[in-house]
Amino acid sequence: MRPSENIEKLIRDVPVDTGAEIDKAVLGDVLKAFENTKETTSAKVGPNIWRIIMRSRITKLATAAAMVIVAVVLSTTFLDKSVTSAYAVEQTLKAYDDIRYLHVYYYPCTDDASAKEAWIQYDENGDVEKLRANLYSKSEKNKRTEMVWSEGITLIWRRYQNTFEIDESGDYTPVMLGFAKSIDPKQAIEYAYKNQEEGKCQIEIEEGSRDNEPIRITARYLPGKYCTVKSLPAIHDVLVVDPMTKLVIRKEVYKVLEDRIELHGVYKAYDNQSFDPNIFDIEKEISDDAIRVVHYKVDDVNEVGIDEGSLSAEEAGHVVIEEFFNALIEKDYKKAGRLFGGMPPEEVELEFGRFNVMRLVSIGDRVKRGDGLPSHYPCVVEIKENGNSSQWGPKVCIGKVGPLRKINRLRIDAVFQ
Amino acid sequence: MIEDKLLIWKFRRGSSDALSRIYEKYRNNLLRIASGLLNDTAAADDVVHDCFVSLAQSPEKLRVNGNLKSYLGTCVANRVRNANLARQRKATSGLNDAASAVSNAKRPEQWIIAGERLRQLNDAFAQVPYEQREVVILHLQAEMKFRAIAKSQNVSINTVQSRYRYGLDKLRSILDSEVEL
Repeated sequence: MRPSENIEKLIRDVPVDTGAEIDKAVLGDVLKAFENTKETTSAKVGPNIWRIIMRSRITKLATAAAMVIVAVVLSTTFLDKSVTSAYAVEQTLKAYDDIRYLHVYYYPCTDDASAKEAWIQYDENGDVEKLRANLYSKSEKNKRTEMVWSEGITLIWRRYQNTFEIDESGDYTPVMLGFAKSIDPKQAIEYAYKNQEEGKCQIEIEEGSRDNEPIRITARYLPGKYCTVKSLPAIHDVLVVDPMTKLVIRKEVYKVLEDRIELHGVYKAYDNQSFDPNIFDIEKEISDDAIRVVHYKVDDVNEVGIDEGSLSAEEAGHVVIEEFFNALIEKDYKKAGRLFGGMPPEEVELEFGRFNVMRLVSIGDRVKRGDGLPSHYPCVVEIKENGNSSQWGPKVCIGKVGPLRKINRLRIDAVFQ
Repeated sequence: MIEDKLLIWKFRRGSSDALSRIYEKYRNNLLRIASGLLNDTAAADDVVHDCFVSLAQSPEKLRVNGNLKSYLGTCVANRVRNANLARQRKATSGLNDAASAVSNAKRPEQWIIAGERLRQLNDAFAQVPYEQREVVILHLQAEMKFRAIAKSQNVSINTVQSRYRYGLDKLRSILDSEVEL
């Protein structure tokens, strides 16, 4: 028989399950009601989040920059606290050994930050196996960049530009893995302890007074020491740990300013919940008419495209287009491929050989399409099919070499109708 | 609950994602509260459904500084009271008698899939006077303070604390006489 004092716990924790179909249907009703409400009422402007934060318990405790000094003075106390705590941070690190899936949402709380969402699948060694990152625009609701990384290849879908980039070169890999590292709670803890050893931050562990109250690990970074960004003020990373699973459920990032502490953003983690199996299959989401740009793996990027030199972007654009079509006329598919970002010659032949290009008739002025869409050059090309000549009007997009677009060489990104 | 503050903030600004998250986060808790108060899963489904729809229709009612869980718990409790009044008007039986009569009824589609523990607890709740049951549920499941419950029930805080004590004692004696949950 249960101990009678457990009755409260029993009432609190009694499990309830729900039918998935009805869950979906009710949520549909609720969202529909919300959409109808939004249509009939103008957007309500709520109070400034910073005022709320300023009134919060955390803000009241911490006043201005003096907190940093206090943190240093009281470091011994903090260290004692962490040492005598019943909770040991190793428990959390160990808990992550079994974690295969991580879903993180970053809620920005300042105007200069934007929302992010990521799904990570780890392999048996704890290395990132697959990663999807959705980066939301802070200004436009539907403007977002969605990226998927797996086996060294990054797929980048910019729906608002209708462009889909495939990075086979691997240049994006360190960016993607660096991003995964920055949102991984386990790495955040390891990073904090490493910095504490180097005297760059102080860690405080605060356990809740009740059994189910979360544990808070606060890492107080000195100004300019957080992620080695010198321009940053003192930063407080607060990792909120579930006392049962010992996993980090939330990370709150605070900036310590002169007159206040400002919540910069909140990372909410959903560990080990299996994803929609299609989440990494981004290609299913790409529209049929999307402009596809491939960044091929090449031995030497200096052989790809042409050097911009002292030419203007428009002049260099004309040159690369002219050279490309001349190479097709001469059936020099190797050269055409180099101008097309390193496309293998056999692919060039398959893609463009059938046009049997005879002459480049004209290259029009660059057309800027606005709304973030890539600009292009309208061209007229004479082709020969079954002994008959005709004209073809492809549009040619030009871009800098490499997925990061940092190399001063221009290449053909795409040719479309 | 910084996450709740952010959710309310975003929801008030028109974020459907925030509303979905509120729904996902508190749906089970509200169903637990409603089924405990009513011991009628069909009616509990309706109450929680209506509660969320009502929330969606009036985001301005939510205060960013308020406690979201308590707010939703109070919404459910108020709707349950209304549902009980309506049932009493139609009534062929009293509130507590009506309770368990339909608790095990199967419907083609059920939102709450009541497990054994929930069913046993709700059956025990059904034997506790409604005022006491409401105090126990609002305090333990909606995490409402006694002061807030007193305000919502329009009684003194001492009355609420007495109801809580009596309610808990009654539940304890019922559950102690049954098999372990």
